Amino acid sequence: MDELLYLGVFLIYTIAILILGKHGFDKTDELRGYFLAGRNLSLFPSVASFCATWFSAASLLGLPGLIYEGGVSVIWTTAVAWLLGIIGLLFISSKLYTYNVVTVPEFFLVRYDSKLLQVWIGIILSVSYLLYVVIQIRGFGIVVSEMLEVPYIVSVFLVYLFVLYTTFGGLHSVARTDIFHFYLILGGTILGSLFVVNEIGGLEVFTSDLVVRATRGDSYLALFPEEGLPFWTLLSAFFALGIGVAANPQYAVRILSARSKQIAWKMIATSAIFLVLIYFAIFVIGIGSRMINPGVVFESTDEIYPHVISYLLQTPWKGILLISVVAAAISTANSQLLIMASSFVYDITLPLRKKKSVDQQVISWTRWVIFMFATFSLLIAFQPPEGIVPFSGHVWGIIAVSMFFPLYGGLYTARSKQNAVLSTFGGTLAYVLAFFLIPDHVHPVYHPVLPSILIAGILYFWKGGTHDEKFN
Amino acid sequence: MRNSIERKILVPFLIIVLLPSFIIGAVSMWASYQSEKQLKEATVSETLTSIDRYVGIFDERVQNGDMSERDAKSLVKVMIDEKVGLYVEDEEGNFYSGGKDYQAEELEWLNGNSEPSSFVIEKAVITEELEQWGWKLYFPIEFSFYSGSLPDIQKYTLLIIIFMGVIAVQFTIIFSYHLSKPIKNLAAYCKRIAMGDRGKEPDIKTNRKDEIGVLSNSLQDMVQTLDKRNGQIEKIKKLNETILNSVHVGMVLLVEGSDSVYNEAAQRMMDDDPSLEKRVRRLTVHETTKRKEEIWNHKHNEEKVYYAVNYRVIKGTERNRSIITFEDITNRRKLEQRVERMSRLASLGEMASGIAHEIRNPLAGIRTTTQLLIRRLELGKDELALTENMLIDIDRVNKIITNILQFSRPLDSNPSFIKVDETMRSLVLLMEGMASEKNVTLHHSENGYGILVDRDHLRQILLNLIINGINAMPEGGELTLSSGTTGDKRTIYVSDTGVGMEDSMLDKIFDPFYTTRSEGTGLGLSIVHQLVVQNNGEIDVRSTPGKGTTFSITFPTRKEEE
Repeated sequence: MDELLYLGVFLIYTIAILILGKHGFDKTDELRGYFLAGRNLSLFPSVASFCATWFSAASLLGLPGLIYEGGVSVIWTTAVAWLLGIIGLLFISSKLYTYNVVTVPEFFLVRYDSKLLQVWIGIILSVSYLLYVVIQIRGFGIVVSEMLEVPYIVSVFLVYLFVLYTTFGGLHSVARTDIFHFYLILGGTILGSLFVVNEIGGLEVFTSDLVVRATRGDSYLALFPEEGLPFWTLLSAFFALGIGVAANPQYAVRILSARSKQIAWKMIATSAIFLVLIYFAIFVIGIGSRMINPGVVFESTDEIYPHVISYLLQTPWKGILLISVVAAAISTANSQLLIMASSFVYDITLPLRKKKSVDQQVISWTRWVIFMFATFSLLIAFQPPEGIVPFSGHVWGIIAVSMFFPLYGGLYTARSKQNAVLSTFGGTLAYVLAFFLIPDHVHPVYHPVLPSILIAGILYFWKGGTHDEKFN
Repeated sequence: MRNSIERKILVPFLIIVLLPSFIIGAVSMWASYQSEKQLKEATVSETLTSIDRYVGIFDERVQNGDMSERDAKSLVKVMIDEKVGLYVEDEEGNFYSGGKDYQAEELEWLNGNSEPSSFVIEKAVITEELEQWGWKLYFPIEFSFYSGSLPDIQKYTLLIIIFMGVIAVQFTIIFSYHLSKPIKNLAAYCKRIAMGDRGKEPDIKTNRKDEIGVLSNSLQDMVQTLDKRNGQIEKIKKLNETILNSVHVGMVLLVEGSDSVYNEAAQRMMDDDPSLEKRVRRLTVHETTKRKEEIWNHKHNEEKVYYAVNYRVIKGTERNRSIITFEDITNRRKLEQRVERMSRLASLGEMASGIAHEIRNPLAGIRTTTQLLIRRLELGKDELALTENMLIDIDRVNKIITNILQFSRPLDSNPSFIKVDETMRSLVLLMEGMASEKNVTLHHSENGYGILVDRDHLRQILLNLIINGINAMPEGGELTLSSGTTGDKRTIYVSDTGVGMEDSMLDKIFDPFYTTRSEGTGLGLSIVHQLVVQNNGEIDVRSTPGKGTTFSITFPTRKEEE
């Protein structure tokens, strides 16, 4: 019976996406329209797109599982670390907005007058996002195969179709479908938390139970772990996730696509409120699930939330909860696919090509590249190679070391091209070395990002570099 | 856009694509349902038949005395207990199922109290008579699309339909978008052309060979040709406008029921002359197709102005239209008047000179005879006085004749560079006495101009005009001598604040012997005119009755003076 319910919800979702995704098709005659929605998004679409992009399948699937497993104290290395990145985004939004660029790597061309930097950042983004899109597809595949009890391969093929379709219409389509996805994520997580509380026996039972457990000294309700929160773990999480988020081009693109710099700033501030609300709901789901049944058997924490929805909740609305995970996966994947394709075409291919190309042609190439990258991601997602999933945890770390200083420093200091190039290459090299030299099991405490971000910073502010005369 | 071509392609294609998917899905569901139903019915029938068979066997054993009827019936009831949903009605009409006894009225499926079959739930009761014992077996069954194993069986079918549906819809949307995009681009291009924006070419590949390519290329060629022709038309239009606006003739196009169109000259002339504007604005479309000509004249700035006006209806248009032209012919008219006046004066001069000659000879004879008679006749004092009066009158007639002859004979002029101020100053001094007698104040303004004129002639001219002016102010007034410049000519103005003259009088004032004063000879202004013409000058007069008269005499100047 549940499968029919899920099938029905899924069908409605499919129809909505097909209709909403169509929207962007007519507005993609110019590059600025295709990549940045004409830099004309008003506050609500910007907020919706920002939040929908923020929550990936990893957040919605992984975080309730992590809380279920590790208790409240995971907040420090997850939600808090991510949210710290928002402060950085608030900081740069107005300055970044003044740059009349189409993609984030183009910022490095404009600011440092360096084609090398543009191409290099383009390569970093193409590769990093390819890995990340694979993770999104995988997340979607897990949920849909759980929901509909179909093979994983069938469900990843479905996400491929959705992601491809919503990305074809450029940022207009992505933003439009993101509004729908935002409603689903917000509604799904809040409904999920309400259902979980209801399943426990209502808010009163839930809170009194929490109080009893807290007084009893249940470790998973403690805000800090029993053994204390190691400084280096916190620092690693902050640098790998917080700085990664702060330098993440997905959000920089949302800043650039806003109608004005005031709207860009408001978008980040308003989104922060929604993000806190959704994180709170996710924490309630995680803790509540544990209270309903502390003995769920799982191989990966990603399986916990779908399991809770499917087997522990008794409501016909649970289809929305699962579809909200689908929404999170697709809204993040299409945004990343668009950045990946735009980086490849606009920031790698075009600068290396001598001839100038017209907008329509570039958009046409981008669509082909989206198709190729999505297909490639799909093929990898069919059978993800050993290590790709753990390695994808390093995506934000690499983005942090390669982009943070050239981006933030570029906006707030007068450091020259030489410093930016040294910082991005030195930081990335240091990261790769640290990745291999620091043993895997130590990574959560001494993350490779720690030494490499330090090196990237030193190289960026190295006095031997010249001062950029052009910068005002 | 609700009526966009994309939607017109998309909707039918979506129907074409989705309908077969739905039909295949529905047929597949129906087939599965039917096969499931038949299977279920067959299974139930099989169960009932097998019980019937057992009853037959048990009944045979009961007949043979191998077992009691009671045991046989108990065994059958055990078998019935094992089959959930199976009911049996015994020979007394009691119902039994799953170890329980039922009354007929308790069983909804039996007495029709249960909900009837519908589209989603189908209900049936399969029965089997156990004739040996008079029992009857009932197996009520329900079938639905969403119950039993049907969803499991159909899940993949449904999933494949959704899959294919999504792929088909996405392809249809992308296909219709790509198909309609160039048409939309062409439409946008046409719209831009309609709005007058030629800037951007349609976003269509130039090497397209299909109908859209042909359409796009043809449209662009058409627009280019149109642009070329528009350019030519614009050129001709500009040329026509330049011609129309360069001519000195005012042109007005009157269109019935619409605003009139004026060329620049018309506008300028109307701006300068409000009376002309009033008359032109009053004009309406004329019904006659013949060309009509008129001369308009009226006073403008105390000067009479003349316009030659032509108007005619333009044929061959839906609305009545007339074209009106008007030309300022004041100068031409003045020239004509001057020529006419000169010719009239010349004729009069010739006639007067002829008459004077004819009179002078007999007059000389009369005078000689009179003198002879005075000498020969011894006349008394009174007679002598009379004859002397005769001689005086003869002399007077002779003087008049001399004057007439003088007027008719071209005078020698000896032009030299004269300072106007000096002449004016000396004349004012000379005439002050006479002027003060008549209560007239003389003014003169000095500008340091010099003119090329015969000094005596200039004095004569100004003297005559001053006397004329003083005479025109019987009640006294002011007479002003001033000068001005127009191009390379200098003009002297003699203005009085006297009685002024009517237009009819202005036409005659230069005629010889025309005078309004009894004591005048009527030759003063004729002589002035003659002298002015003789010194290559021009004379003009403006007068308003009751306000005064201004004579302006214009002479050439020397180049060195400039």
